[in-house]
Amino acid sequence: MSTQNEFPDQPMDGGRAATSPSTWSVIKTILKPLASLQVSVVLFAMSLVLVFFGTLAQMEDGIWTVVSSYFRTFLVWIPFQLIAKFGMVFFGVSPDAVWTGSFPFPAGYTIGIAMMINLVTAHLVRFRTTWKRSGIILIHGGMILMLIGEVITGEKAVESKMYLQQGELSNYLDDSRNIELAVTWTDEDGVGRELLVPGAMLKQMGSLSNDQLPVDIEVLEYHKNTTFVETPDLKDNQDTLVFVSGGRSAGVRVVIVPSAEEAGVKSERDDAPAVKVVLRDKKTGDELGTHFLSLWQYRNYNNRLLIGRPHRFTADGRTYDIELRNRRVYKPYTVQLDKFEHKVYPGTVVAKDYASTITMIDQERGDQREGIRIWMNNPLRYRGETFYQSGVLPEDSGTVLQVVNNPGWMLPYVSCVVVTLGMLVHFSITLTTFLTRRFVR
Amino acid sequence: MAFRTWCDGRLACVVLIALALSGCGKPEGIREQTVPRIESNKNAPAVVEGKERIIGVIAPNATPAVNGWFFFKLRGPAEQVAAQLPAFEAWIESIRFEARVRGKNAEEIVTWTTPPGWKQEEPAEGDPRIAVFKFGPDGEQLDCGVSTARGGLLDNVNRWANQQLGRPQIGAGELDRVLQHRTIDGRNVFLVDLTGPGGKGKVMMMAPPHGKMN
Repeated sequence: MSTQNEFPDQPMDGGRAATSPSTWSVIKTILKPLASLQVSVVLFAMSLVLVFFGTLAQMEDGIWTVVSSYFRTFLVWIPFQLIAKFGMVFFGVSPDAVWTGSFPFPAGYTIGIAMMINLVTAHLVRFRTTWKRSGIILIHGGMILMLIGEVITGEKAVESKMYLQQGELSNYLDDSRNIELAVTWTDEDGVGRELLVPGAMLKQMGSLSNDQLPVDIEVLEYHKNTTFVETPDLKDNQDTLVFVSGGRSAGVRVVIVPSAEEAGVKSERDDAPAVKVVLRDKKTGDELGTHFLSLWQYRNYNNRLLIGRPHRFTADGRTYDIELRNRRVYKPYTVQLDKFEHKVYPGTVVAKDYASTITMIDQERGDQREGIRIWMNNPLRYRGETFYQSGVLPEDSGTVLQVVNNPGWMLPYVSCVVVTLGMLVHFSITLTTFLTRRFVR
Repeated sequence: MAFRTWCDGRLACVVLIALALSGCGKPEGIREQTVPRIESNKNAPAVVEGKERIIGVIAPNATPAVNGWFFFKLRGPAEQVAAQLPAFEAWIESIRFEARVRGKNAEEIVTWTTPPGWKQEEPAEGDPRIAVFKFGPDGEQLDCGVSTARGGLLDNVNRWANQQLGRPQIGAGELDRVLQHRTIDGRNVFLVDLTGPGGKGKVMMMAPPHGKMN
């Protein structure tokens, strides 16, 4: 039986040959343009352009704003002003130049999905599935895994922080990238209760009237970022905060003011959004108070440096607290910081090592484990989450742990191993073929 | 070969469907949740009760380049402190913060009205406090005065709690629970009310005296 392929431009694939040739031909005709190598080159070029403009955008915008606007979406409107700014640095464009308008460009998800389709269809239509191409197949398979991993991470991963001062117990995590307006109270049984309005609803401003809320909330202002300035007034208002530590700053009183978004190229902190809200009685519509709430007033965001008067209101005979905070996720376990170590290189203030020793109290499992040490590059993995040593509270008073829940955490490692294996296989095959030919000659 | 084609096609479909579904999700609305109880450490030391009590107000000092705090403190046996609580309340409510300019330097001073039954005196030599108060026979063991100091709020609270009352150090994480928020003369201040077995530590402050008696 001849082993030659009677259709040399078609893969030697008995499976496809088993399908009706007309059906497969139709499928192939449809998929062939998608599998084009020219399309691959164009997509790679577009990804370079997208990364270039995404990098330029971080001169003004925060890193996570750019990630969500340029990469984790399908379409981005790129301002012409970015090109002007690039020109100001390299081509002598006037520093006063203002280029208005923007142009649409495929964003990360569009290019990524297109690359995935191009790669998969190329394997279906163009590539021959032979052992000689096994290395290429492995490499491409690893790249597909990497792309899938990024989508899973982008959509499902949650990065949170846990702030603990020495001896403190905590059973919740702060989602660093999301905020919520929290209305809290203690019920008749002494149980803490919370009503939470997500940040996305606050951004839309306007009235929030909901059966769950004890009052109607009108959002008058939303500020993406705020900062603080020292107040010259002897009298405080409800928004005045005071530094409780921080060396010579202790006792300094500050007020919160709107500010520009933290730029990605120089950001040292996440943005601190703020809202101005008016609370109204549900029945009468009477105003119960106006509150300017900033994330700076949230103890974890300000690293426990600032304290202000709690914002409170009374409705139907019950007193409520209201604050803007990072989205809180309660956990079925409690963590206590037993000891925090901060070592510096001798003679410097440069950090050499941070380490936190904690006790994990798992009420759900009835288990308590002490002496768990978390230090740089040595995280704790517990209940599907990974606890990293992330930062330190002022004056070494405590620790900041970054807690990551990422169902796709294994995929980048697996994809790197697969790609590496594919490269080794491909190199070995190519080398063997070369040596064999040379030997035969 | 048929199997390979089957795999290729199904894999492509799974990948595309997974990508398409990955972005789906309902926007989050208003939610209600119960705050779970924080479990305590089974091996934590027992809470210390005591016979001595300190009640005081800690107020930010707005003197530029000095800052720090003003302290208004009443200390002594718990029952004697309790007897003076109404007078203490009247005293702290009478506190006023004033800006003064001495030469080129602005500074803030505090004034107050001495409650009936209290006698204000000049501090003894070496006592850096602004003012001290004496009481009648029922309050012979009470110590009350006004002072200023810098440093972190926690350090200063622990001066009272640990050095003077003999309590274990208050952790930074517990500070919120120890402080009560008050407003006096438009200034946000902190009220601290603690008891303990009594300590041996003395108050050491370095700030020069400011202030005046009404």
